[in-house]
Amino acid sequence: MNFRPTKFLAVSAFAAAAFFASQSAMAKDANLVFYSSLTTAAQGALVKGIEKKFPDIKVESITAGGVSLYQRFVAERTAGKGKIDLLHFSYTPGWYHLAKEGWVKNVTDFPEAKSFPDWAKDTKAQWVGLRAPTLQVIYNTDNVKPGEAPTSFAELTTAKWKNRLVLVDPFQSAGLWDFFYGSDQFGKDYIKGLLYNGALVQSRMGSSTERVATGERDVTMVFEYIAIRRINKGAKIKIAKMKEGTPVVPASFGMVKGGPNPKNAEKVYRWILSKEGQTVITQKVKINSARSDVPHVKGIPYPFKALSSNAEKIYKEQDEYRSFMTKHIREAKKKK
Amino acid sequence: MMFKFPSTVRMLEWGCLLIVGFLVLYPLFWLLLGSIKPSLNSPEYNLDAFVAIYQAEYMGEVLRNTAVMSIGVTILSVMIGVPLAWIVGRTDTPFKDYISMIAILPFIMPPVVVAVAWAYLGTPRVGFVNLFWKWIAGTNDPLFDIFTMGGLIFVMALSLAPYVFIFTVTAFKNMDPTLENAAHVSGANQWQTTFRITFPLAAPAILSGALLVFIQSLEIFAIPATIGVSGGIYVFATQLWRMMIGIPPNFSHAAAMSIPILLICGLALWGQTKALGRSAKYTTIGGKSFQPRLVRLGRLKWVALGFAGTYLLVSAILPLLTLIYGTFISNRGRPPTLEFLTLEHLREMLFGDGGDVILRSIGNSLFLSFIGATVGIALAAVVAFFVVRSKWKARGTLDFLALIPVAIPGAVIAIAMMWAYIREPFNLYHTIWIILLAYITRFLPFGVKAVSNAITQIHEELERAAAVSGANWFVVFWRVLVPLAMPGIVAGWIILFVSMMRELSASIMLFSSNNEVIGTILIQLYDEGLFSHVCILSLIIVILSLGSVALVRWITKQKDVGGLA
Repeated sequence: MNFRPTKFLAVSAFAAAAFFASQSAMAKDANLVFYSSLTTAAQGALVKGIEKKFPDIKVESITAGGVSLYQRFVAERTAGKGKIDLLHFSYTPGWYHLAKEGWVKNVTDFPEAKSFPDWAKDTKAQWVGLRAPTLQVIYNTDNVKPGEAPTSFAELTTAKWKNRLVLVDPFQSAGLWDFFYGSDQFGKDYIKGLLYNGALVQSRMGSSTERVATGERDVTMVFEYIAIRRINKGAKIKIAKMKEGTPVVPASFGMVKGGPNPKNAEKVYRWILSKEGQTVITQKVKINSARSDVPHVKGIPYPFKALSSNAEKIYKEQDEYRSFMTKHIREAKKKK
Repeated sequence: MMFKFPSTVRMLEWGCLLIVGFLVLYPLFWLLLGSIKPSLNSPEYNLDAFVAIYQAEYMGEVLRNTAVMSIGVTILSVMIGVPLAWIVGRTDTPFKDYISMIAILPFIMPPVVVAVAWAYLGTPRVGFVNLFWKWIAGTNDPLFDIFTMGGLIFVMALSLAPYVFIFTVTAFKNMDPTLENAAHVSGANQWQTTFRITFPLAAPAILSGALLVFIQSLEIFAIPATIGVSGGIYVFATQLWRMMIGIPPNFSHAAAMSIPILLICGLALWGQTKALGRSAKYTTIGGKSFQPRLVRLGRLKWVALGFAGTYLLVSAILPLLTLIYGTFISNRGRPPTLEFLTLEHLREMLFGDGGDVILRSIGNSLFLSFIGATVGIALAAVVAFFVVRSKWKARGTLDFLALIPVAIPGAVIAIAMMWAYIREPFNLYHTIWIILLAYITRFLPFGVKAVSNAITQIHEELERAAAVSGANWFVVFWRVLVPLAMPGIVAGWIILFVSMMRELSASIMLFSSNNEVIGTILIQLYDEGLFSHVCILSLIIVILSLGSVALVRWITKQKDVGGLA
């Protein structure tokens, strides 16, 4: 039998029609649109939790990295769309822009928000922390001998850790460097101390964890949920306890103005901030809540002295910040 | 003067130009608008974005690095792809079919996966290759460091050399031996014939492949972001990303930055056209039956096999083994002994909380790639026919229009597509159709190049004979040209299919709930540090892509599609 392109095209057309029909059949009666930077699995679990609590609500959600979600939301809005209800991403400086444009609703006045500490909400940028991830220093247990583990952030800028650190690229993963830049306790000098101490600057937190787990470098700083997942699977890494405290980067969560389902949005938003909702989050997402009345997640160092940072500083000084990081990452690499 | 109704062919040409023009220029219009407006809904117009990007710090260093990288990658890709294509297409080297099959594996693997795999293989301290070297050489010094300019060029070339291979092997296999026979008769030996006849005849295909490699090397983000940044090497793609990040995002900067790439692409195309001319000397499929002669390498065939084997080892087998290791090892950094092997990652990924999204993304990607490749190659075939065969004055414009999308970085084209189709009367945003449109637009140039190369090799005498026998345009195209160009068309289909299966840059801005694709899930898992899941999904891409290639070969009865045996 000879090949007939016509048949191939006909099959393709049939496949397209079948898919179109299945898409239409799947066209859901979603009545809550939720953009989230939670992990794929965590967002799936959270959506199941929401739909179990509110059987009349069907959630349509999109998950992506924080910066990507922020860019996407802004691109949609500038094109006159962006009809979503709930927004969660941890690129905290971006929230000041959303608030300035009037794209987010006032949420810090909700009674549920009162139960959150000040560092876990922002009345200017109008968000409350959906979760409270912490930045942890982790080290490779083969390369770092017992008793040698770092005990302070300050120590990481000393000769002892020269060429032993790996840290994320600030232009691919913002949280770590945003924290240090916005913190009065650390600031520019500390960042320079890390960079000029031979830190390998590369990629994102998953990759940094990988470098330490495989022994390419000895120490890194990552969000605890990334580290704990690896530790639970037997990676040769441990979390070090830092005497200054533990940096907390609350994961901003807000309501979008002009969303298509305002009533459902408020109902779900307030539930997520409630003790019940936060308990579900901690159980499903395995990241601590900022609320002190919610049981903490087993395995995450607790209690701890929370260190917070000023995200508004990054927002206001963003050009200077980016220029500073660009310059010193390059200069430090040359001096290595 | 009486109005003369345009011929059917002319109307088809105009129709083709209008479709391609719309697909390319409509989003491009929004891109250009975006580059001269601080924000899309701002009433202000200025050139601030252009000024800002060229006054940006370290731009000189970025341009220098980009030039070194792109030229290096192109040269190395040609040095790998052309000999490999020649070995497969024109020599009696053993195991050619297997070489041909494995040679496209690095093309199937998403660049982010190639980068991650080589980050495992080539890190100085614990990279698998360096560990092996230290063990056999009894030294503590690594063999090489992947986080260098050389490493970056090496990994990029491994990923891009298949473009040169796929285009060139088709040319080698379809070559009319008449000129080579004449050379033999005139006393030229095998090697003189190869270098003075065979390679020049394949020049259009080699240049097409090289051009695509050059342009792609400017566009790919994942490898420079993983390998380059770790080595302190910043190039255009990573600089574009850096410029786009901002509060608010600097979309205007990204749009402005892509304009020079468009110009470079235009220049490269012009250079290619000038270098080759439109001479008939490259037409090698004529009306007579032919069988290209195989070069008998004698003992040298083992050298050829060694060359192919080395390339396949570093480009496909080692990264694949890394993916398999990542899939089944309980924790990377542990040795692959029974104690540390597990199926847990597979279970967790497919049946965990994110399992339904992941499975849906696989279905969506298969659908989009299958339909996108089919529609895309159908359009590309018609475009290629007019570009190569038509005497129409606007054919050059059509050719250039069809090439433009390859010169726009995926992240930028996605923003342009969103701006273009989010509004009335299209309203395609948040549907799967905007992704399909983006894929077809983005990869049309690859299809056009693949089919153009195939048509260039077919002598017009066959079409003339059909026309003289009374066949109209459609019959000539459908019954004569399409069957003759089928290897190129199927090769183009495969390039489109595979490119769409692994596409990320445009998808990440355009996907929506229920319309996730493999690329978006892959990067999400990568961001989450779930490398075991990344490995599994990459293996799924490889298996599905190879399966689809085999299926299409079986359906089309093409045993030998552009080297994709």
